[in-house]
Amino acid sequence: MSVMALAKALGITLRHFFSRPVTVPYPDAPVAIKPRFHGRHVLTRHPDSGLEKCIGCSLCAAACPAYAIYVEPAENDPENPVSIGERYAKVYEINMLRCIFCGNCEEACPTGAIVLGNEFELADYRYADFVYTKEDLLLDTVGSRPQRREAARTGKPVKLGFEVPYVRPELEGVKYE
Amino acid sequence: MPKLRINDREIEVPEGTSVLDAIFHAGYDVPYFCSERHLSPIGACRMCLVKVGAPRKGKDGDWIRDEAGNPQIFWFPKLMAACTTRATEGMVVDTLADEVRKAQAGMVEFHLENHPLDCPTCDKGGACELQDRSYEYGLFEKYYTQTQNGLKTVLYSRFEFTKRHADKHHKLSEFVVLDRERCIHCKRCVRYFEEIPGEEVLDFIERGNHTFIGSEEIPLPAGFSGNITDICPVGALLDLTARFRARNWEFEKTPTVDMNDAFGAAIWVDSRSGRIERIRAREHPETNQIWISDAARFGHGWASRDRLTEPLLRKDGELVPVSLAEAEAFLAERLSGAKGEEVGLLLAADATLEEGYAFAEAARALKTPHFGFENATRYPVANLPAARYEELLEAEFALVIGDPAEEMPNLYLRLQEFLKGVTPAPRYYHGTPIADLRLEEHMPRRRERLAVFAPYPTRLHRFAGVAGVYPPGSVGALVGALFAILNGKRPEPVPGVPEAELRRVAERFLAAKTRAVVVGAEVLEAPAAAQAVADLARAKGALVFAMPPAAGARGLEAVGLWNPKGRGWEEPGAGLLLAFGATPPERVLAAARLRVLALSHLDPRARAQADLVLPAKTFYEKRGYTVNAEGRVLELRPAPTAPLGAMDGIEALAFWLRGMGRKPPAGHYREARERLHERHKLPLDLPEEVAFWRPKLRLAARPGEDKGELFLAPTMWRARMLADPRVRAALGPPRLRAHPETARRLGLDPGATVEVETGYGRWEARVELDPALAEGALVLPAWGRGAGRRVAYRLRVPAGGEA
Ligand code: SF4
Ligand code: SF4
Ligand code: SF4
Ligand code: FES
Repeated sequence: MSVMALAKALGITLRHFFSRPVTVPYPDAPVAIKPRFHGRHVLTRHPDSGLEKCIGCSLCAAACPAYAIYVEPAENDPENPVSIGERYAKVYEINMLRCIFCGNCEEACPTGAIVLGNEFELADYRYADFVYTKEDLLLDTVGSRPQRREAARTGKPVKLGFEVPYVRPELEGVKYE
Repeated sequence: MPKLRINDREIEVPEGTSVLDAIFHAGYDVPYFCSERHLSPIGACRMCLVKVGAPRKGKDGDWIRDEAGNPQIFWFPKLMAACTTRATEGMVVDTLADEVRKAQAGMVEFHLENHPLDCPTCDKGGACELQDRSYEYGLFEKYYTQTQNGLKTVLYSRFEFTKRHADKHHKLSEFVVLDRERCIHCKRCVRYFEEIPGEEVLDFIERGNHTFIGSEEIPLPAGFSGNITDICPVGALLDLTARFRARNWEFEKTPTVDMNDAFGAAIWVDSRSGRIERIRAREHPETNQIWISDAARFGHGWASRDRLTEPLLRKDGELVPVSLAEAEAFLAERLSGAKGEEVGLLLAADATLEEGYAFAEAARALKTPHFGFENATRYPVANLPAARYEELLEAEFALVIGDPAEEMPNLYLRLQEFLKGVTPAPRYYHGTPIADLRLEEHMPRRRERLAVFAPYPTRLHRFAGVAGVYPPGSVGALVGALFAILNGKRPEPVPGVPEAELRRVAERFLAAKTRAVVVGAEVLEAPAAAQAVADLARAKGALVFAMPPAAGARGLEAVGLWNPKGRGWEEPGAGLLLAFGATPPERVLAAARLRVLALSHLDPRARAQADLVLPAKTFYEKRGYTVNAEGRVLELRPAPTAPLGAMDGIEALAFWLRGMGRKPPAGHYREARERLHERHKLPLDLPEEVAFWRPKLRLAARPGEDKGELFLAPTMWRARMLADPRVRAALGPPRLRAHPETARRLGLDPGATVEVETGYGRWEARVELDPALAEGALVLPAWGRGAGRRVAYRLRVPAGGEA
């Protein structure tokens, strides 16, 4: 090996040694993600009435290539409706272990109710905990199940490990701080 | 048989075939909405437009020919509706021409004009004819797309308009809801009511764009209303029991047989997540065609609610859940040293052949006199000859003694067909004709072909040339008198029925070349009358249609569960009792030392009296075969809704026998089926069209006669169905019908609520006066228990004091 080659290699090392690092000390610092990054789903609401957008039509479940979604609809009580119209989703479940985050459900949804958000920190211990219900998915729920469990344990708010330049408009009402 | 050409294919079809059926027969497709098998073609939707031409005959009586000498084709000036055009000799049909495709796309466009965009919330979505035809035939012309800002967008119509708005939630009954916006005015529902059950309840109101479906009769009469939810091509008429339960593609669809009555109607059981959500009619041309009764369709709510999921054992007076092992130990202890003849083995009315076989074999091995099935009649129905339902349509005269609309609702629909004089439809490659030109709107019903007698006015009375009401208990006298007249003897008088009427019936009966006799539970409960019917059929050659109150009666009797000595289900006597599928009457339970019931649901009697309750399957969940009223062998397939550990009769029996330390005749279903097949040589491998099992039997009738005064009228609804609040709301309280004189004698006020107690249960009934009943008659719905019997009763006004 010639001295020239050695100097050249050392030069590369030194240049990178003094340049800004590309790695992120996650989880101490947030990762920057693209706005169209597909993460955990959100069930959005109509901004004015606060009613759920989901009408329990199961089209998301039909479109899902991974059979990850289960919807059980029911009829709205006209006095006290959950969604607009006659029908709402009484049970809405997504199995996050099966989901491949393809976004087909979002494409299929006629009301724009199910939208893939940006959260990705879903790691958990038990199989059953990966079946996300309406409670976990509805707008205003911040964080995944394990994150919220942790937050409840420590009494601190959920800390999301990412930042996005802007939240895409389909995620109506979603704020990632 | 006219020969015609459809596009490029030459076919030959029976006389009277519609062009629509000819097109399907030739293997081509044509869209349609308003045509429906078994309903008259009316040409309302114009979806089936095709190009039709035909040769013409000249003055000389020969075809007008072209230069080449072939008959010249004269095309109709406009496209023709294929469903109302008759296929004729030499006709030429073009279904692929551009103008045809354009017309089809135009009709789709018009149909969608006022149709709401409801598909995501519509229960018909995914099984909707309008959706399908729109995909297949819509969007054809260029003007359906437009380019805006460089983007190509699809337009669904050439026109700009605001959709018509109408009532979206119009409840027609507890079971059926109408959405007027979705209706495409095909008139199937209107025609159905008039043509099939013979009730004119729905109709179009207003005209043109304002047309809507309406009814004077809200709620719709329960009985046959549910079929409109099957035939409505869109989601305008929907089943409320299944409202928003799942999308059509999510249901687990099980083809099986309805075991609520003995007709053997084919059904689809649609279930999801272990619950039965919906029952639909399944097409079976030889039996129920595409119709089922409301009880069969809407009466499924009980099956999925409050299911028993584990064995219950009585400890300190209470039934508590225990493990199967504990139940087994309990049985072994209580059955040790038990004598075979003490054991009672009872089976529910909707049991399968295999279960019947296992019970019969076990009873034989134990040499016990206590065995039988629920609702067994005094006269074994298996002794009566059986005829195919389709043969009824070929008869010229029918004598009905009973109430087919309630006892075997589908047979009632067959009788309506018979009244209209429609013979079985010809079959095409695609099956039953879709537009059968022999059917017409408002076909006259030939009343003179029908005579009806019953202890109360039935739905059929309105359609009969001779219709009579006799007092309950006189059915023997009635049949005897008829028999005497037919044999040229002097009849004894029959109360309530003038002799002249009977003579008219006899006259028509003898004048007819082919005749049918339809008899209900009441006749089967009167052995002499039933025997007379059997003799009559033999001597005079009549088709017999017997309607036993137990769905599986014919088969269960034939596999050996017929018990002429005592009423297995009715008579107390057995000390050690195993009952599968239903709870025997109180007195039978009270007389036993050990009461083991295998039930799908806990009922009050079981809760009070059972020692051990095992979880059982309902008929929806069983695998097996049954023999229907015409002797046809039908297959039951299990819907995936049974709780884990629920037993069928074979398993429950095996469990019991192992407790006795004996070897069961079969340990599980497959074994029972094999043994049954070996023993009785059932045609289990034949298709249902030809699989009949009608062994010639001469079983002894059970002697005796009912003594009570209260007549239990057969009903299509079963007591267990009342567990569903929707069914309760639809049916209301049971009606205790009494002749005004009888009511006065008993001190019953019309409209009063009384408590009626019979050996079959206790009901809070509302008193209703009915002058059409015979004097002395008192009629209560049986709701599946003891139909057609006269029983002793006790009346109490709930506020206290005897009524
Ligand atoms: S993102 Fe794709 S895989 Fe995940 S639930 Fe939606 S459709 Fe299914
Ligand atoms: S999320 Fe959308 S597609 Fe899924 S059930 Fe709800 S409305 Fe239908
Ligand atoms: S309600 Fe249904 S069946 Fe009746 S006319 Fe309308 S679309 Fe036809
Ligand atoms: S016009 Fe409706 S099917 Fe022919």
